[in-house]
Amino acid sequence: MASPRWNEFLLGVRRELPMQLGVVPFGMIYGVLAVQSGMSPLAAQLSSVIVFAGSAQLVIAQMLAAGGSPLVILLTAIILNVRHVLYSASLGPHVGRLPRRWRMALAYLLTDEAYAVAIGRYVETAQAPPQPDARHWHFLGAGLTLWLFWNASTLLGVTFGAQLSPAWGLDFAIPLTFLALLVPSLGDGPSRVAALFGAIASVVLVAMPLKLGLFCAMLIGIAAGATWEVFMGGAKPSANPEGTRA
Amino acid sequence: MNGTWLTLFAVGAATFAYRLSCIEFGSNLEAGVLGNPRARRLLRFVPPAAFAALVAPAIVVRDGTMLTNPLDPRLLAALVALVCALLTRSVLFTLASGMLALHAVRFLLGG
Repeated sequence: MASPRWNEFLLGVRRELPMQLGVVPFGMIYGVLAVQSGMSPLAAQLSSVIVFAGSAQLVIAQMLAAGGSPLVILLTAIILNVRHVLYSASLGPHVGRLPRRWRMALAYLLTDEAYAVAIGRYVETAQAPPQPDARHWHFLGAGLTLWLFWNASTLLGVTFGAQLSPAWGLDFAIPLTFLALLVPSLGDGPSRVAALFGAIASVVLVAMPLKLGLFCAMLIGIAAGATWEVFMGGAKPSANPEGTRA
Repeated sequence: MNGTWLTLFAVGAATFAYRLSCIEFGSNLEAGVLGNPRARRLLRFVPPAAFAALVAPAIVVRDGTMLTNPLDPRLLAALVALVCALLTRSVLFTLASGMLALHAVRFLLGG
């Protein structure tokens, strides 16, 4: 059993496990909120299989409840998930030459948390790659672990979700979750400007049909952050000790 | 087959396409769009702009109009959650503090 592949796989699993402390509560919260916002339990669960991206899944649930059209929800999710292109770009040189079935499987499993573990392995062994190179098994172990925990925690949330009372105000947990995701992204001045303009624009444009206001507010926020950086010279890389993540 | 399923499959396909993009066409994309510093700068602003746009209206807009009551339970609870998010950077603690604050304020204000 002690083949290089199996060893890499297990190492990937082991390094992914501690991250589940954050993933499991988030998965349960998603499951509860998706059901509370009116998705069928089956759709809520399969969203974790089909979409497999937590914040986008929450947005879908929230916008469906608010009557957003599929096209606008798609546009919004496309902006929110664009960071995955960067993960793909970062891992592409390492896995781009694997057989097609591997490329497909690893692309499907490429989430924030799996990326962190997979790229960590490629970086730490960059000087002396293992022979034979089985590091894609490390990636697979990390990705499958996350998939399993994300779907299991979704199932828990979906199961409980239908039994919880609307009087508890659980719908308020959706903006709170996004607030928790927002704070670590406010590292420097231009990022804060992007957030400020995104927030103001989304309130001003809230009455736009089909939830288009959200999509437009995201674009406005991004443009404001970039403009601020260009004109105010926000490029001071070392000037932000408080901006580093805990 | 209704709008929900259509949306799920469309977003799922788009997300998969993102994740596969540079694994399949890595060198071309990286030399092109993603190698451009301007594109990278724009991408950096996606999380703050997107998450702020998701949070703000849910807290300060009620039934289509701006909130005028500064003692609104959701507004006060959001402030508590914001402080907790700044201190802990934890989704779980932010949620717990915000929900607790919501119910505490409702109870105190007789809501």
